[in-house]
Amino acid sequence: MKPLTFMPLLLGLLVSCGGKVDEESETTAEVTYANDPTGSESPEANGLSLGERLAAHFRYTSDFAAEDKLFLTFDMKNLANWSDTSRPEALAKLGAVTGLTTVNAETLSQWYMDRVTYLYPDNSSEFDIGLIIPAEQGVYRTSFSSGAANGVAALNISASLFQILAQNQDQGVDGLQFLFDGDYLPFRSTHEGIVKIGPNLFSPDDTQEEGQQVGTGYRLVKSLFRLNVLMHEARHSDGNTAAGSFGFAHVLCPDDGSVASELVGLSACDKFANGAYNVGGQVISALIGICDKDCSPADTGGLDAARIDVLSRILVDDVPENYGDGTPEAALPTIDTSAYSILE
Amino acid sequence: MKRFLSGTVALGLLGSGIYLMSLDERSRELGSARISETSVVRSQDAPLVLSPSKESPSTPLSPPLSKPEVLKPENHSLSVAIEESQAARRRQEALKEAVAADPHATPNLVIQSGRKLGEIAELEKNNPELKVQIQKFYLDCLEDTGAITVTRVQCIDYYVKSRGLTQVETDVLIKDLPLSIRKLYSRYTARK
Repeated sequence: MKPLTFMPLLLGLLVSCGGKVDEESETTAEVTYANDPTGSESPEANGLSLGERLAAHFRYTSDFAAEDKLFLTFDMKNLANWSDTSRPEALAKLGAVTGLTTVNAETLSQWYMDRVTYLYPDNSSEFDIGLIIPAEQGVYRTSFSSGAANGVAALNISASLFQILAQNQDQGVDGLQFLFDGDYLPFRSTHEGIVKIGPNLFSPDDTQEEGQQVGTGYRLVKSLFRLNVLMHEARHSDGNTAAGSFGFAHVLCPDDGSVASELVGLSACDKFANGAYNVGGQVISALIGICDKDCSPADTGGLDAARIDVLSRILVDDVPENYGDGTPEAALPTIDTSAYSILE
Repeated sequence: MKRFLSGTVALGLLGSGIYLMSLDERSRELGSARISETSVVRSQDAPLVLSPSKESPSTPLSPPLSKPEVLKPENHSLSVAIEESQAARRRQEALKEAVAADPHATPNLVIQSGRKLGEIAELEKNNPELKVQIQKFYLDCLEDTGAITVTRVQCIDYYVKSRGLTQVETDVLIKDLPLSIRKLYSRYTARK
């Protein structure tokens, strides 16, 4: 099968985290809470508890490390059990940046599930996809470099997939599939939520066991840290091209004295106040009550460092005027490819 | 011995542990120096006049040590904690590399540096007699141009809280610090 001429275009595409967007234009669009265009389950679905629904929602690849899965399960349990309402300002701020009118374990969990579903281990930079070409009644199987496998904490590649599709529509590509555990599944929206989990999400001192060196507090701190990263990645499933917020991609940190010198020149800043960094930081601030009982001053010192770090990456003041439009691109129609031939 | 504070001059043995005394402590023991709690001298010799600490407005910082060659265990702990914190915060280059490799998450070294500050804050809470030494540490930290930005901001926060500084006093404290630090501190405290 002849290679398609558009394949070189796949290189250098925006990756949600680490992607570069040079323009500094900002939008004044109001934040819109985007419902899942693919139709997610309702909060009351199936009569299951929130913890059970969270556990059932995520789809891990079969090669996802069992220990890492346990950590994420622990994190989701902490999220589901979170009930602290003693920090109304933090809750209000988290609601503002996420677009949630009510912030609690239920709504925040649903917000997350609406944006993240498929979890892959970050063990390869190649990601297998199928480009659907109706005019040829075929699906062109290929892969693209996701830019992962470099020791990242996590990487949402949903926006990259959507952009691949958008950039190749003029060449007859009208749909896209992604490989998940041997099956090619339809990709219809950035809210499919395809995230790679990398080694940096965990550290050598993470443990499921409590001991003298690693107490409950430290385990909760690490869990909060991971939740901040996971919610950060979820934000990368949002946004649209028209508003300039597509994927809430990071931008280069400017060398104008306003940003920490360690960040200058790196694609580690946000031009929107409700971007991924602030979402993650506000998650820590809002959920830090998880830590109230068990965390030591050292634990909270570490969490404060994480909060300040994310604040240091936001280029604008945290006011609604600096919020980007969270509405995702319209969902794509499903294309029946059952009779299509595979082009490789 | 180099892993302890610079200026360490005296040591003694107590049980199985080795306890060191810093120059400042030695000076106080000799009665040759007293640090006024109502003023703080910045590292570039620029005087920063602040209001008295709310905790102890007019008392001397700490009485001379009766046993100059031996420090209490908490002092030893503070020396170690300060040294570890200094090592943890002076990692700008490592931080740049970590962010470049993974812009998505806060590098662990930032968190670890924050943890070290938290340990020192706990020592301060549990050992009020160490307050002045720890305040000096916070000052050194916030002015340490070799320290990572996030940690410097945390040190401002700890110092301001320890001294009970007013907004005006805080503004004086940070006015000569880089814009990125002032801005971040302001943003951080606005959120809390």
